[in-house]
Amino acid sequence: MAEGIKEVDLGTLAKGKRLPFLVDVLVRLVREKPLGTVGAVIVLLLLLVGIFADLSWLGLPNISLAPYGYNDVWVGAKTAPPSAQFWMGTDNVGRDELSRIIYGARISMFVGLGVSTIGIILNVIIGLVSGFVGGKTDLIIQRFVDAWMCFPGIFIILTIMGILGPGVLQMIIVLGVLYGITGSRTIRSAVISVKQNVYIEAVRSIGCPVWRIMLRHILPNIMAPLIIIFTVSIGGAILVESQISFLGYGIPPPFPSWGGMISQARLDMLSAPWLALWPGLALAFVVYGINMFGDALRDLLDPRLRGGLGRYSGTKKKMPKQKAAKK
Amino acid sequence: MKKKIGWLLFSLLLITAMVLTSCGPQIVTTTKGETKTIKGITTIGQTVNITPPPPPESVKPQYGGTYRVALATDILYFDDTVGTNVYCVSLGYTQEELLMGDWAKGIAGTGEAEWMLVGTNRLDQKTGSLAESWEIPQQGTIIFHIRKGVHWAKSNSDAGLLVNGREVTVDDVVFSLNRAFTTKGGYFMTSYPGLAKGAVVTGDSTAWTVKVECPVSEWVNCINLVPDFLYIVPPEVVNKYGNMQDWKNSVGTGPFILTNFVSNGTASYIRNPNYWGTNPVGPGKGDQLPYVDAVQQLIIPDASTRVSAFRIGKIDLMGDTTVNRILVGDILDDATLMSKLNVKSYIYDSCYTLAMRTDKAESPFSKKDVRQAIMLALNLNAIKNYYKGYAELVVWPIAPPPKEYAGLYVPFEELPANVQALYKGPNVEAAKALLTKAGYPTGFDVNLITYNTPVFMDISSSFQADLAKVGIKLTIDGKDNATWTGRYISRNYGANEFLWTSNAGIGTYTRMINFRGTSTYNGSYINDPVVETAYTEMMQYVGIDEAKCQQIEHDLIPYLLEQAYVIPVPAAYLYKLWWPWVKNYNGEGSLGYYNVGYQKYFWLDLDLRKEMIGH
Amino acid sequence: MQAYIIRRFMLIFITLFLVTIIAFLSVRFIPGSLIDLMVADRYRESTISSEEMLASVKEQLGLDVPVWEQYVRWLGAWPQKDGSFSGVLEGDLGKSLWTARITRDEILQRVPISLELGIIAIITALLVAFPIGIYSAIRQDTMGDYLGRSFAILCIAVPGFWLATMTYIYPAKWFNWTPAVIYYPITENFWANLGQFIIPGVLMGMAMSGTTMRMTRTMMLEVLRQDYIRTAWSKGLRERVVVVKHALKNALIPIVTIIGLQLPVLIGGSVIMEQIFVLPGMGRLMLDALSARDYPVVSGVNLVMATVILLANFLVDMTYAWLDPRIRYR
Repeated sequence: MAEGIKEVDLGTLAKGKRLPFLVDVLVRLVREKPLGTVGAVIVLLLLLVGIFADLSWLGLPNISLAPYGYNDVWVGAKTAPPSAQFWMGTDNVGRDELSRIIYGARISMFVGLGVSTIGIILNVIIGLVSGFVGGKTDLIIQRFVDAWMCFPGIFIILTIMGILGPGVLQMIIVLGVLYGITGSRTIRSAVISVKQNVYIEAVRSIGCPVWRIMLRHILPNIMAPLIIIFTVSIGGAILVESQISFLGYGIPPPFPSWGGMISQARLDMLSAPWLALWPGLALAFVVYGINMFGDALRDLLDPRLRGGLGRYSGTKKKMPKQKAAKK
Repeated sequence: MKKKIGWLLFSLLLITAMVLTSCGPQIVTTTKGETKTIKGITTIGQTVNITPPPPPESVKPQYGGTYRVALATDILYFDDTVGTNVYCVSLGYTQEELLMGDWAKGIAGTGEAEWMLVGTNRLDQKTGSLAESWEIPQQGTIIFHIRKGVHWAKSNSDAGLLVNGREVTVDDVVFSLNRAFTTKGGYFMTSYPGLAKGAVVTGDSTAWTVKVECPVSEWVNCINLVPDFLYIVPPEVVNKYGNMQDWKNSVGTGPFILTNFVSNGTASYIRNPNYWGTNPVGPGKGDQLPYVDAVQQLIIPDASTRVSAFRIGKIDLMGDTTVNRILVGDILDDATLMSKLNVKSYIYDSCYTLAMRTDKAESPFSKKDVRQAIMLALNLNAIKNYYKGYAELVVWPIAPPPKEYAGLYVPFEELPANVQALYKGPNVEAAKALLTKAGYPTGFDVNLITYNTPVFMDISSSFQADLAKVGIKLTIDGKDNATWTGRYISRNYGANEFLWTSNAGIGTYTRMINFRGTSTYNGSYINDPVVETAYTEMMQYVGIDEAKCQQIEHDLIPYLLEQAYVIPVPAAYLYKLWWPWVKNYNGEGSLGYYNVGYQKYFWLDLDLRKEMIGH
Repeated sequence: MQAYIIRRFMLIFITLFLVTIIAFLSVRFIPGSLIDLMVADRYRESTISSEEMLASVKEQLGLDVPVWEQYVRWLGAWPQKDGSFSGVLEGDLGKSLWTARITRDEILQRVPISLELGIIAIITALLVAFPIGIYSAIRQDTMGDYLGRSFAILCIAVPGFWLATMTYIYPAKWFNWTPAVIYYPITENFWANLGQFIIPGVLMGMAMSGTTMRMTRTMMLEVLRQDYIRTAWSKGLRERVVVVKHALKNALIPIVTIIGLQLPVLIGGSVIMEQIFVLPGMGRLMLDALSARDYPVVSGVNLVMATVILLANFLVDMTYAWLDPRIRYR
């Protein structure tokens, strides 16, 4: 036993202080990815603002973050510049801009989360079935997915919105289905690569039913890409929704969608430049935050990005320095 | 175990997200829409403070230059039997009709007409175009004396070489008129089948006349459409190519020749050197027209792009029906820019109103008291604020007209007091009293079908708030353009529904189609014996005594307004803006009935332009 | 290899068939019929009842026959009402119901515009994304990485249409200048044409660069984790050699996917950019046709876009198979 070398109990090392999965991710996020943390904070802010815009869903309509309603008109205060009463000024009808931005955050939150949720569920269903079952089913499903992807997004959105009519819920459904089907490709390839593993074969050989394999064995192993897709598509959905509302086909007035607000502010852009400024900034801010957060998550969770040593190890955490015995 | 917890948390997050989302739309749908006023900020004033346009020029006109104008939609049609004349924008430059509005009666000359509205249709203010003159021996017959010495324009296209610049003959005119009446699927056969079937066109090549006869029942339509709405086209081109829809086959007698067209891009024209027309009035009297060398129509669908292009002089004129205060408020409020520009304001004759079924007995709207109650409940003056105060209240059935139709309009002050009261809402007590008298003390439910653009939605919301105060519950059903148009055309809205409709232009006033008959313009299904009496009287004077016709309509209006058959919505002032280097132009919009070819009369002061914007 | 190519090609036809049926049917489900719009258009102060007009217009447009018959007519397998053939098989892709113009000509006139816009956008995106992506990968989690990534993400986050509108409005007021409003084809006036396309192209490219940068970065990071990179590193090679000679070349293979994924932009155009910058491109054609419910044009445009996308994917897959032999034997 040389002197100075610390004896390490391998047992404890192996068991180690390993935190539960999500907490571990969070800790690593804060410690190693400052930009990602900023992004996470922004996402949290969006959620909070959206949820607490007003508490009418809890039955307390009078307690609200927004100073006024999003459709309360002040006759005589059209396109007023920012002032003590209207922190962000008023729009061309006479509604408070700040309240509209806050309610717009709620709409963005709904659209973002709703689209991501529907999208991820569809992704999983299509990707799992197509990827795991394979064979003829895969072929047929992929033909439909191919056909779907041949249509430019705008066509699908306009057609289905045309059929369903304008509205927040319809927007969410359309975008959700759009993301769901186009994103299923990634999940499918992830499923196929997980399927190659030996343990799947093992589980199949002991007679495990297909649905159980899919849910219990494959799904947990594709969590990483799922989480990444979920977070990233929130940002994408918000952006696409703003573009469609800008064109005039998305969320109809008087709902305060940020994209729609920019479109309406265009006519007053010279006399009231702040009107287009606030929703544009809000959009940029939120999408930036979501994307940074998504990127950081991908860095932390993507299994393909693990491993590597030295310069390209991907994390700042260095190997614990072995304090060499020094005399 | 840890993984299970992770799973659980994730699923919980998903479920929360879904639940929140499903609760979402309901939360966002709650509209409050109350109007509040704040101390210290007052409603904006109503005076229209615009620089009056310059008096007619006394300088001799110069030749040359390129005139540029912007269009908001693509040019779809080059043949007025394929598409409506109204959308054949290029034909106003390249083709001509039998008659046109008389420029000499406009502001450049005697000033009795303003030529601002596209639907101006007074026969007594027209002058000959391809026809030199006309006679009406009796109701049902009109004889045109065709102008001699007019040549088809020469161009290098296949069609142009086919026609080769020959002289226009009586047969050409007869062919064109017959073609309009007999083309299957054409505008006339679809929209005016009675006239199309009943019209008889005969030409006399020795006397150089064309006679059009039609049944007396179609006389009003004939007078309104045949002289100034049909373009004359060369028969050999139509016979060879089927129709004139391909822009490359454009051949006409007009002041300009179409040289190029890029769909959704630009349409380019050059001057027709052999044009027959001369300037009838002013310092340039006798000059061969047109003055400008070339015209370019730029198709710019985006409104703010159009405004920006106009601002820096890339386009010379802005004056289509979208140019209201909301669009060009920036320019109108910019004092420096306004000191350089010329502006003229006007009210467009086709305005939006709320129609309702006055014909269904079960409908509350069949009772005059209910209709009046609704008008009393609404705060129509507040809608003016949407256009910063620059709007007019009384716009149905006739909007404040230009000089040509001044005899029609009844100004607000001249209306009887009880009619004036209808426009001075909100008057909740009076409205409630009328509702109770009509048998609806607690109000009723109404569904409003509307086009879901911001303007309509905001006005609808304002109405919703006003009506709620008298117990009428208004539900707003916003539809996109195609769906709304479908409901409007099929006219199948129900007893308890409002529908946004627009009314026909002022040029059709003799036909009274806004408040009688079966067309879509009679949105409220009005069928009133008082109206019928007036109509019968009107028919005796159509085409014969314009002043008397205007008088008949003028006297009918207070009655119609008192009946409150439709709910009018204040119509915004529209503007015509142009740079001062466009001379001999005084805000005209059309020379006659949908005749956009007035560009031949004005000229460009290129030195002034160079001075102002540098090129 | 042959069998693989042939198999993939056959699948394209099946998908294409599916696409035409979906395109044809879906437009007809949108409420608000073409006939009503057309009647509203043609009505122009007429006094006849709307039922008469509706029936007559419907008959002229050939919409009074059942949908399957309209489909077969559009394919060109069945004669039109006047006896002539017109449709997909004839090559003219049907005639517009509104303007009676041939769809093929319309598309051919618009494709070069969307193509040019798309090419400029993709070049910009690659020029911005590659350097930043590669740098971010090799200097992960440093300040440079953060700045670069922030910039690229900002490019996505800041709404393109917002910037685009601002390029029209503020310069008009401050500098008396706007981007071009007249479209000159590239054969007519090269510099004017380029001047008009460069601003929307660059704006589009910047918006696309964010996603491209992210993909490049991920690809590079993946490649950099490989063993052979570690070997090269341990051999003592300089960083530039490691990155360029070993990592980049291997990362370039998936870059083909990246470019392949952007191809729909080349043909589909960007509706918003085309609208604001007055470019008569494919995106606008699609939007206008949809709003006007111009069924043949919508179906025709869809068919063309689908064909191009499917062919592009096919080529990408072939390139993959050629580069990576493992894929061929699936």
